[in-house]
Amino acid sequence: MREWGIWAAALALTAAVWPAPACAAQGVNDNEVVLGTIQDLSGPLVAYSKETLNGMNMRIDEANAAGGVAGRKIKLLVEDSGYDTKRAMLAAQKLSESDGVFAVVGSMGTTIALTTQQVFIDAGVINLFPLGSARGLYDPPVPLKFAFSVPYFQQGKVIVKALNGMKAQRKWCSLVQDDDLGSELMSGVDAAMKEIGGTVAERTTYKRGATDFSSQVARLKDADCDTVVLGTTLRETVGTLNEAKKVEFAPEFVGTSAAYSNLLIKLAGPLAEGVMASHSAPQPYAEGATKPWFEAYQARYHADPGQFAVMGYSIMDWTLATMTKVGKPLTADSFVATLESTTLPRNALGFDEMKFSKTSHIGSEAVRVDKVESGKWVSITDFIKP
Amino acid sequence: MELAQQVLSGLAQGCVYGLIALGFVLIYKATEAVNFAQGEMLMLGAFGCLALMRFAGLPFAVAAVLAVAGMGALGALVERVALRPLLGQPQFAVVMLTIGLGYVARGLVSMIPDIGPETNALDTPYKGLALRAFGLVVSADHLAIVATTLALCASLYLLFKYTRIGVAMQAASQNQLAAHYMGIPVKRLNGLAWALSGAVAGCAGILIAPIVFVHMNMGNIGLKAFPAAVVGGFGSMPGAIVGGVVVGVVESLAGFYLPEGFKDIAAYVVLLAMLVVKPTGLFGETLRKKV
Repeated sequence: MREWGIWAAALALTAAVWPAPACAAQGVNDNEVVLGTIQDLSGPLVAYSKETLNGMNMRIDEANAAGGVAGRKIKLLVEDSGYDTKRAMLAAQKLSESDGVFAVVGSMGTTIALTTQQVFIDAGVINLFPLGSARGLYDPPVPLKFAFSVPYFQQGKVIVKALNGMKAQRKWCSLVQDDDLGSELMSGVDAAMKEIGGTVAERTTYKRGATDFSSQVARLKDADCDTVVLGTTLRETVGTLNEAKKVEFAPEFVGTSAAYSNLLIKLAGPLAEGVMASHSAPQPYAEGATKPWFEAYQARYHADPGQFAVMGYSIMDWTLATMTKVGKPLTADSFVATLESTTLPRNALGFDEMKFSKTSHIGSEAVRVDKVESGKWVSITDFIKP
Repeated sequence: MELAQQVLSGLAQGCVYGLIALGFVLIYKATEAVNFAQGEMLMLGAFGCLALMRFAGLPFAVAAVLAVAGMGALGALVERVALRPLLGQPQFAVVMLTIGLGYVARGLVSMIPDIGPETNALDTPYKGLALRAFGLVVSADHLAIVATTLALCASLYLLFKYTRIGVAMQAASQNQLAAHYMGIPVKRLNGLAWALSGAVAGCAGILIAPIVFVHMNMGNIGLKAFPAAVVGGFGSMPGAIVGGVVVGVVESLAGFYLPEGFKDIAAYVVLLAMLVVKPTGLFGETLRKKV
């Protein structure tokens, strides 16, 4: 009797650990692929998330109207983090465990994406193209994470390279946020300075949320800077421009993707003229190759699209393009293998070519520099690798 | 010259803190309660003015007056509906309530279509203007804040010192029961204090909007106003202004002359120093209560 019991236990244990046969992946069945996304629907980034979701849903609806991808309709589940990491973790657990999504796409916010990515990796869910800039989102290149947004380190290098190429003799200075944004940016700037044999003459910082920049701008003016690198987000950039105008300080200002927005032009008005910024995701206008997409977005949402709509649409486009290439037998492994051998060409919305490999899970580290001219962002460089 | 400019910039910024601190002190002076939603009331005032200009097409002056009046009414309503039931409860309950009201206000504002989740500019008639004299410069935004702060401070000081209502409010804040026995309508005066504080917050929000922009987190500047109120002495109107100016000037000079990072901690260093040297603040009174 005891012998039978031992055999029964051994059999049960073997069945429990025996790998399941290669059936449909989580979030995939014959008719549907379920994707997830963690957005900020109630916190400080709600405006960005609203646009991102608009872009993603627009692309999904286009695909579904054309019959889906490999005969499967796409469904997008949205969870609200409120830009709070605790809520984001709960959202990640819900999406990966009870909702069983195939992949999470375009999670909003660097901190949110960094915090939740391991939850998804542990559940075998692919992290695709979060809206955040950090090396940890693609490096080391573990299979289940892919990114597109270029971190501030690389942006800092390109800013110096690009501007040095336009005019070599400059007195460089900086005004940056005293957190990861600022320190990453300045690390990149310093790395580029080493290459060109330059130096940053005056460095100033401010605490996140600061509204007064009088002493920082006074120091920059006192140091006679002609080029100021801004590691600032939207409000701080405008605050700096206002203060500079007040004290009649007129260097060339160059910011990063954190300041690259049509809102900057809207808030700063004529003060924004001549301001430069690096970015990897473009601002759309109803002209050129972007015009048909711009008008389609307007017709659908009765509002002008911004940069985040472009990002949402493009990242979903890349996701669906990869799924199309994989075809019917869609699993996390087949998707990852396909994406790692895929080059997604420059798209009409202005993104650089996205090329992934086993050793590189960021599509492109190249960044371009735009300048505000006549109230619009205009590209003054092509994509430059750091 | 640079020193003079930094002091002037500090004075201007200090008046921003002083204006907001005035709201804290007003409530405390009248009700012995600390309103942790003062920053959010400032934010509501700014959004009110913006909404009236954007959606009703009103000119700035009209929208501002209506917004300030509206905030006064809102202050009185908050007192009637949320705070009056807490009369007699521990101070901690009022603190928790005002913190909660702050969260609710931010949440509600984020739901306003178009402007709620965004950063908005408030178009004032004096936008972009600056006064230049003797090699110094100060923006029109800051001049408006300084002028309004001084006017408000003077008016409120006179109210509390020389009018029956003001004296009655002070009496009610020191001993509600005794004030009630003297025939002072304590509840109505509390409502008036909150109405005044709401109006002051509305003023502050509209005046600082050109500098910090109108967005749902603009009330965070209230955190800097708190040290100003403590430094000046929490029960003193002029103290709130002086405290704000002290904090503003120290910040400005620290930002220019000291190494990076000192500007951000200057306000709190001043606060700590004051708490050690003179905890009641520069103009605060030493009060004792027999329990």
